[in-house]
Amino acid sequence: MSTASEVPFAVRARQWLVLTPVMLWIAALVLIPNILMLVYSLWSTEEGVLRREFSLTNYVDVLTNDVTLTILLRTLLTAIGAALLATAIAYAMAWFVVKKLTRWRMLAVLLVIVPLWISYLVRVYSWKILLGESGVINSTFLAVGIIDEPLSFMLYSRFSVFVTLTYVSIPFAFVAAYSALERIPKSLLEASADSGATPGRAFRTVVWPLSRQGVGIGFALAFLLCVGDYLTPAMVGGLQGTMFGSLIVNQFGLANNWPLGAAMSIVLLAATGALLAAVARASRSEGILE
Amino acid sequence: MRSFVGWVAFLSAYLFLYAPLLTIGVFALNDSTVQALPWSGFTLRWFLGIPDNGPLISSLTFGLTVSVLVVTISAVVGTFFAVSLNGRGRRTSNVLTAAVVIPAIVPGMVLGLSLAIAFRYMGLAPGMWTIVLGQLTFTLPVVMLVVLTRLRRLDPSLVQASMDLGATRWRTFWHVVFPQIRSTVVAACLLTFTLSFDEVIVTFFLAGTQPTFPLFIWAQTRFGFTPEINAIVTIIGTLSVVLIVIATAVIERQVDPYAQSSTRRRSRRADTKVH
Repeated sequence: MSTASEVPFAVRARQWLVLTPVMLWIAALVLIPNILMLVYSLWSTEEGVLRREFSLTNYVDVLTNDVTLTILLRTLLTAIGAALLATAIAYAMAWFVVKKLTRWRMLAVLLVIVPLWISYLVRVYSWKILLGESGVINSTFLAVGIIDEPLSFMLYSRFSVFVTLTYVSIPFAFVAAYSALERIPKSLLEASADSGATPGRAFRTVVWPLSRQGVGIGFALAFLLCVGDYLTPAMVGGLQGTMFGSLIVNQFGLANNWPLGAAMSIVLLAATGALLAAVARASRSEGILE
Repeated sequence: MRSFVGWVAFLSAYLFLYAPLLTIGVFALNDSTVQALPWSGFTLRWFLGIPDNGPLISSLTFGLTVSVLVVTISAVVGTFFAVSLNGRGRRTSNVLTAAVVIPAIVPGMVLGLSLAIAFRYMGLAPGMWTIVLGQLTFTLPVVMLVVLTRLRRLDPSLVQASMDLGATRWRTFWHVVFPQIRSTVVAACLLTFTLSFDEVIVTFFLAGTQPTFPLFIWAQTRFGFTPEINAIVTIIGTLSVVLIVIATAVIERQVDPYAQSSTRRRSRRADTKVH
C-alpha cells in the first residue's frame, strides 16, 4: 500500500480525474433521483398541485391505512412464497442436472433459460389462456370429466398471481443455484462418501453449506422480481390479486399523487432491503469456491 | 424406482416451463380472436397480418433502436468505468461500484418512479432518450460488473510489460487488455440486449407517446390482444432460440482448446481453496 507522501500530487489528481465520469454518473442517475424521490415523499399534493412543505403525512397515510397495509403485507408474503417455491424447484432441478446429466447437461441448462428470451408480458399472458374459465386447463378437465363446472378460483385471484410469479422466477433462481452447485468439486462428495457419510448427510454437511449462498442469491433475484412486478397482478390478478406495485403505479397514473407514490416506494424499498439483508446473513457461505 | 420418480419430477418441471410457451405458439395458429378453447380451426392469418400492422412494426423498430443505443452505450461506457475502477484501491472502487449498481438491484417500479421524478425535475421530455437513460441505469452496471470481474483476473504483468515497452495507456488498453476481455464484453452485450429489449417495468414510467415493443403489447392486453402478438412473439422466440444455439455452438468451438485445461485448472484451484 502506498501512502500519500509516496505518490506525487499530480498522479493522485490524475487518478481521481479518471474517476470523474463514474462519479458524475452516480450523481446524475443514482443520487439525484433517489434524493428527489425522498424529497417528493415528504411533500404532498392538493388537488393536483404540489405543496412543497415537508411533512410525514404520506408515511402516516401508508402505514395507518388498513387497505395499503394489508396489500403491502400480502405483496411481501406472495413474493416470499413465490420466490421460495421457485428457488426450491430450481434448486432441485439444478441438483438433478449436476448429479445425473453429463452428455445432455448443456441442453438441460439452456432449456431452463430459454423462456427468458420470450417476452415477459407474453409469458404472463399465457397463464391467462391456461387458467381462464374457458382456458386450456379448465376445458381439459371438463372434457375428461374431472370437474363438472369450470374452476373459477384459478384466474383473477391470488392463486394465479402466485403461480405466474413462481413461473417467471424459476429461470433466475435456476441460474444462481446451478452455478453454485456446478462449482462443487466431485472430489468433495467422493471424500464424504468414502468417510462413510450417507447421501443425506453429505448433502447437509457438504453440498448445502457450499451452495446456500447461491440459493440466497437466487431467492433474492426472484423476490426482487416478484415484489416489483405490477404487470402480473394487473394482467392475471383481478381485484383480489392487487399488489402493492399496482397501488404505486396508480399514484403515478390515475390518482396522480406522486408524493404518496414516492412514500409508498420508500416503504417498499425499506421492507425489501430489510428482508434481503436477513437473507444475505442467513445464507452466508462457509467455504469459498472460485 | 426412486430414480424413476426423480426423472418424472425433473421432466414435469420442464413441462411446467414449456406449457405456457407452447400455448402461445398453438394459439398463434388458432382461427379466432378469442384465445380460449374450443379450437376454432387452423390459420396462418395472424402471421400474414403482421407486416400490415403499422403500430406493431413501428413499436418493434423503435424498441430495436432503443436497445441498440442502450447496448452500445452500456458496452463502451461500462467497460470504461470498469477499467477506471480497476486501477483504484479496493475501498474506493468498492464504494463506487456499489453506488453504480444500486439501480440494478432496487425493485423496478421504485427505480422507474425515482427516474420519472428526476427527469421531470430536470426538464427532460419523456421519449426515446429518457428510456435509453433509464435502461442504462440497470444495464450499464451489469456490463461494468462482468468486465470488472474479468479485469481483476487478468495477469497484471502483461500490462506492466506493455507500459515498460513504452506503449501509451490507450495502446496498452487496445492491444493488450481489450483482446483479453473481448469475449466477456460480447457476452455482456448479449445479456444487455435481452434485458433492454424486453423491459417494461421501468420503461413504462419513462416512455412518451411512442411505445417500445413490450409497451405496445401491454397497451394491447387491455383490449385482449389479437393472436398477431402470439404470432410475432413466436417468430421472435424461435429466432432467438436458433441464434442462441448457433452462438453457443460457435463459442464452444472457439473456446474448446482452452476449455478443458481451464476447467481442470479451476477445479484444482477450487479443491485447494475450500475450507
